[in-house]
Amino acid sequence: MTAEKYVNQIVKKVHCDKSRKNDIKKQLLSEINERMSNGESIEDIIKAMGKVSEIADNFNESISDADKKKYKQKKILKISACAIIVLLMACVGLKWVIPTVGDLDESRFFSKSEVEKTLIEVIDLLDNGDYEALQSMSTEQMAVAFNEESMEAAKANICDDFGGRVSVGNIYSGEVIQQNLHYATCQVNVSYDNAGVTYTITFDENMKIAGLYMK
Amino acid sequence: MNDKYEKQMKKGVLEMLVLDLLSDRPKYGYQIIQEMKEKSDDIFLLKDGTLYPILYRLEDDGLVAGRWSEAEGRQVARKYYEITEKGRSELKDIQELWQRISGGVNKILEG
Repeated sequence: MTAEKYVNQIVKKVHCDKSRKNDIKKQLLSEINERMSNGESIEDIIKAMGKVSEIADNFNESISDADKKKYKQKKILKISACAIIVLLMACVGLKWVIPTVGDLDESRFFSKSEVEKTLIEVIDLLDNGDYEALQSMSTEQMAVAFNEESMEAAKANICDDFGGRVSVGNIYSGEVIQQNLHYATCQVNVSYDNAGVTYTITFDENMKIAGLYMK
Repeated sequence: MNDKYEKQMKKGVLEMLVLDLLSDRPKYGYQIIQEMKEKSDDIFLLKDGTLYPILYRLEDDGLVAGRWSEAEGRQVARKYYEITEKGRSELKDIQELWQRISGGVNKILEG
């Protein structure tokens, strides 16, 4: 065992504040160095000085109850502070992961009128089956989904033939923030001759289509 | 059994002996251990775990003052302990007490 390791083990078991611990460490190392320079081996010195637990117990016995109590309180405070920090970090992390929804009127990233105008454009293109145009308006991931086959299959899931558009209902919109990314999302009910479809369409900060849900 | 009584008896006088050894000049821990061993003809073989807590207790009570020396050449930094005025006065009181106690003990033992 090295002198440093031996002394560190002792100091670790002593219940006192950091400055006293540093002083004990310095003092014990100073003595070990002195004895080594007098020709004693580290093994003999450790044997003569005694077991780690015995030395630590002696130190602890000499510490007053008031100081022990102070040390214990500080330790509890330190542990509590660490727990609070971890909890805060978890909360911050959770807040970062869980999406929050805000008013689109108050958004720094989106204009509500532009979002609603683009939403109607998207529904027009969906009704007309212009998937190439939709791909050009989409994020890379969404562009892959906008192919004729999958979109016609999705529409067929609701109704084989929507028929002509009859009316467009109120548009409900909001800004969704998740992991520091901002999205505008809006929902609208559109009535067709043969079906009623609710569209939920999401745009990213570049006003690219990032999500589409029909039911 | 002897070991138990020896420990108890020595424990009671260690602070007085440490203060006494420091009364002529400042000394560092290892030096106190060595000097106590020599002067007591190996009766008081102090271990570090025994001496340093005593020194800290005396320091906390203001009976000794510790100061670190600068490391010079191959010589490592040492913490020197010096007896304070309060320590000298306390030592005088403890010595008087010791005289009374040891006197009383001797009287009993001598029959």
